[in-house]
Amino acid sequence: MEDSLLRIRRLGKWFGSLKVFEGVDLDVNAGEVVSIIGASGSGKTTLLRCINLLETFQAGSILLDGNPVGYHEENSKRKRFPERIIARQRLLTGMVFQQFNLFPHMTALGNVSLGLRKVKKLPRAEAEKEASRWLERVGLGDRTHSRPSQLSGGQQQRVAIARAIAMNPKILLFDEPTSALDPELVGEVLNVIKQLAADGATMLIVTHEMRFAYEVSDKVVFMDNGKIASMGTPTEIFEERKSDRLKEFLSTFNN
Amino acid sequence: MRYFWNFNIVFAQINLLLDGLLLGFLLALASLMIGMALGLFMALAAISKHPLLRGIARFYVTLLRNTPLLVLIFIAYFGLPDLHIRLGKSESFIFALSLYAGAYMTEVFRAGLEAIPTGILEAGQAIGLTPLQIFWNIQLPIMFKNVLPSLGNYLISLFKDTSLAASITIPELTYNAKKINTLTFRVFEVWLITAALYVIACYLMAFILRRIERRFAIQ
Ligand SMILES: Nc1ncnc2c1ncn2[C@@H]1O[C@H](COP(=O)(O)OP(=O)(O)OP(=O)(O)O)[C@@H](O)[C@H]1O
Ligand SMILES: [Mg+2]
Repeated sequence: MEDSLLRIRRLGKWFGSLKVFEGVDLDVNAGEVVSIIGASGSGKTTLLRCINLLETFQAGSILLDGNPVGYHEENSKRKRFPERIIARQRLLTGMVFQQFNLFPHMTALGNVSLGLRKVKKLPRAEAEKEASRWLERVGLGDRTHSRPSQLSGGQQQRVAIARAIAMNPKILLFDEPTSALDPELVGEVLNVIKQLAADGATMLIVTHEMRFAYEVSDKVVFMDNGKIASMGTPTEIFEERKSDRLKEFLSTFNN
Repeated sequence: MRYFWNFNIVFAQINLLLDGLLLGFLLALASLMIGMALGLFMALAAISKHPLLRGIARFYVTLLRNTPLLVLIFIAYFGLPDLHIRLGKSESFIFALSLYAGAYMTEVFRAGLEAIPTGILEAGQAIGLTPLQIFWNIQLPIMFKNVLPSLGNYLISLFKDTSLAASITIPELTYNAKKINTLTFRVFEVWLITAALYVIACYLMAFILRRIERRFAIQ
């Protein structure tokens, strides 16, 4: 499709001589929710980090909204964009990390409003109003002045989601957003993500929560052995289980 | 043998001692401030990607941490005029003590910066902050919080080091004590009171600094 929001072509990533993946093609259309599953070490985190330009990549291209990010061709040579441009390109994506990574010296409000003030250049009052609006959306309207150390893991992750989405990215990237949480806190975070999906947000979600992936996704991607091994609708991936590797991987989950 | 204590003759000169104490504190404070600025630049050099910058930082720290402070003071006071750099006594002392403090601050700041989890900096990148914005809004405040206890302790340590300024006749506490000693010959009394003044001043500083730290920790 011509109008896919995120278009990845022949993406290749190496750490020195260690190949993480090669020849990865992936499209995410506006409003779509795509989940990535796969065994530990299959390169799911690395793929998200490449899209968010936190990681370099050695081959292929990533197009966001039709424009290449990270690298461009100059005199038929591949060149990385300068850091200032990369910083601007990162605004197209929002990232939610497994370990939340909140700014520990700031309140929830400070965490969410920092980017609005410094990057979007909103005046403080306006940025904070906007930030509290997002905190309310994730159910933390009453915790705006709490520091990360005063919040539960689930609350911290919801602040992190508000922080990412407040920047109004085209696509939200989630890297195992509930893996660092106690089981009883997983639900509140997944519910927030489901709500965002229902509101039409475009999302790419790495997860080990198979039931959640089944329910929320339009498309599921199975990464294995340095490539995308299967891709399809949740029904195709979870019920038809077309390949042996996929069957084997899914059998390690009890659902 | 009996020693006849006479503290009064020293207490009559207590203002001289207190003036010296204040001067020593100001010398330490000024040196800490300059040393912090120097240390911050050197710490950034120490963690930078450029081998040359890292080399400069390592050279500075190695050189300064392995030179006795008194030697540094003499180099600044007796040596600099030969290079046609004329500084007052206090200025040359602050010059030496700042360089000395800067080396220590380089190590403290470097550790404070390196203790920040990379994920937090990546979160800053992810919302589109530039490297400079990340430095000002994330790295610097978290680092200062990390190193606040070390800064306080080091101010106290520098304050004690200011007694070496007596060697180039700067009228701080130790020098003034020596002067009273020469005038009164009350050796024990003078030096006991001087020691007590150092202890009380350091204790007070530690007390105040701990309160400031707690204030920052709660915020
Ligand atoms: N900074 C790095 N330097 C070298 N190798 C790395 C680095 N980061 C990841 N790797 C390697 O790349 C491969 C893919 O790692 P990645 O973290 O992307 O896997 P993952 O699918 O996210 O795994 P998990 O499910 O455990 O999170 C692994 O072999 C890992 O050891
Ligand atoms: Mg991972």
